[in-house]
Parts: sequence; structure tokens; C-alpha cells
Amino acid sequence: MVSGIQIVVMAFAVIMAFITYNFYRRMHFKKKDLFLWTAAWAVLFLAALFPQSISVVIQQLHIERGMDFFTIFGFIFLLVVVFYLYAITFQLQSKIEKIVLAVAGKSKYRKK
Amino acid sequence: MIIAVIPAYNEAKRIKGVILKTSKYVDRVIVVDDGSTDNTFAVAKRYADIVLKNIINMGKGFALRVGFEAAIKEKASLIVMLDADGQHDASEIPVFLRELKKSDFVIGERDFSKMHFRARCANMLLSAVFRILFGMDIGDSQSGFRAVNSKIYGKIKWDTNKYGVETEMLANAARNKVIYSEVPIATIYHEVYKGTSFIDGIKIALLMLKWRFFRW
Repeated sequence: MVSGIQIVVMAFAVIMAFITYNFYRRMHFKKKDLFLWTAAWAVLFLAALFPQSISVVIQQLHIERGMDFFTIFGFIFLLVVVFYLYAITFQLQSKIEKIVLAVAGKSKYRKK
Repeated sequence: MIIAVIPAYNEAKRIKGVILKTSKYVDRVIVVDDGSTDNTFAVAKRYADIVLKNIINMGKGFALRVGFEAAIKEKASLIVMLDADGQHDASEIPVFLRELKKSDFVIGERDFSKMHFRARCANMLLSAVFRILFGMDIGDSQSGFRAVNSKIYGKIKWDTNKYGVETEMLANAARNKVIYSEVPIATIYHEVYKGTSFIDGIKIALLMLKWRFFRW
């Protein structure tokens, strides 16, 4: 029997897969991004549908409950995403600075 | 050569007066239009010697960096920085230039008692925190009216793009033992809610901690 929380997680995975596809359709994502994120949502969907399938992993890691497993890996995943976003933002900022500086130099107006 | 650097963002109404007044006391005026959406660039082009335009708004720190780099390229020996909104009285520039004979970095000190309540509290608090953290005898750490000997630009050069620029300059000056002094300047406020916001103040205070304890 599928419980309420399972339905919520599966619905979340389906909605996110749909949003991911829309991003791809609007060409905001490349094919690689589409496959990567759709795979991630599919794993989440399957894990919610067949929670016992992750019990092997949970036992190997000596984690008591499935919920603990998701909480721990959720935090790890969030930390990775935050770090990645920080790095990307930092890179983008320095690229923007270089562009603005170059354009400012080129558009320099000097009184005759 | 004495060059004034004026970063400007949406100051089309006031920039003309500021440039004309400033140009009486310096050899060249450089205006950096920081992505203004009004006529600032067009007005500045008419009156300033050199005008640079950031295609997007990057913040005061970035605009000042662009201006200082341009001034150094123009072989400036002394650089005066002031705001484009008329908060700084350019007729006080000679006081800064006289003081630069004794020190390398001169900071204009406003009279806090003439500020409105919010600005007075923010400036007093930030200046006090700065004094405690950096041990520098500075009355007004947030003043944007300053003059610098271009030789020490490398010692005070800042990374921040936003409002923390004044504080970072001072923090770098403290670390590199730059000879500094303060001169009293007029306290002028045209718009009560313009300038550093409460959130900016919090950010600056946090940045001070970063610059004091995590700079390497």
C-alpha cells in the first residue's frame, strides 16, 4: 500500500521532471542537463514507490530508518549544491567584472 | 596631476553642479557612470574631462576602482574621490590637498550631530566598531570624501564592489600602515533615505569582521 508521504514525494518528482523538461524545451537546458536531472527525479520517484529497494544501502551504512537516510543524504546533496552554486556565482561575477571593465575602457569618453 | 574621481548612479540632476565645482580645484575630473538609467552619462560627457560607463550597475566599489585605474593611467599623483549627489562640498578639496603634504591618505570627517537620527546612529556605530577592530583612530569610517596619494593606491586597493568600499580602504590602510589623517568637512544631506541602508550597515559590519579576522 502506498502511503501519503510516498504520494507526495512521487508527485514532487513528477512535477520536477515536467519543469526540467520545460527548461529543456525552452532551450535553457542542454540534453545532458535534461538526462541528468530526469534521472535524479526518476531515482527519487522509484525510491518513494519502492522504499524497500534502498533497505540494502541503509543496512550497509548502518542507518536505522529510510527517513534518516533521506535526511542525511538530503543535507549532503544540499551542501554540494550550495558549494557548486557559490563557485559558479563567483566565476560568473569575475567574468561579468571583466566584461564591464573592458566595455567601460572601450567606451571611454574624453573631452577634446 | 590632481584628478577627481566621481562615481555616479542616476545623478543626472546633480552631476553637472558637482563636476563644475570640482573642476575648479583639480586638473581633471573623471566620472564613472555606474550603469545609470537616466541621463547621467550624457550630462557627464558635456562637463567632465573623462567619462567611463559601466554597462550595468556594479556598485560604488567597482565604479571607484574603474575610476582610480583610469586616474592612475592618466598619471595622477593625487586622487580625490567624492560622491556625485552633492553630499560633498568640492570647495573643501584644497583642505585635502594641503593635508596630503603630511599624509598619504586623507579622510573627510563629517559632524555626526548634524546628521539625521538614523544616519547618525549608523555612522557612529560603524565607526566605533571599526576603531575597535582595526585600532585606527578614525572618527568617520564611512565618509566617501577622501584624497589619496596615488603611490599608495596598491596598499588600499579594495575588492568589494558595493558600499563597503570606504571601510575596506581603511582596513587595508590599517594593515599596510598607511599614513592617514582626517579633516573636518561639511555634513550635507539632500535626501534622507539615500545612501547606505540598514541592511548595508549590517553587511558592512560583517565585512569588517571578515577583513579583520579572515584576510590572508
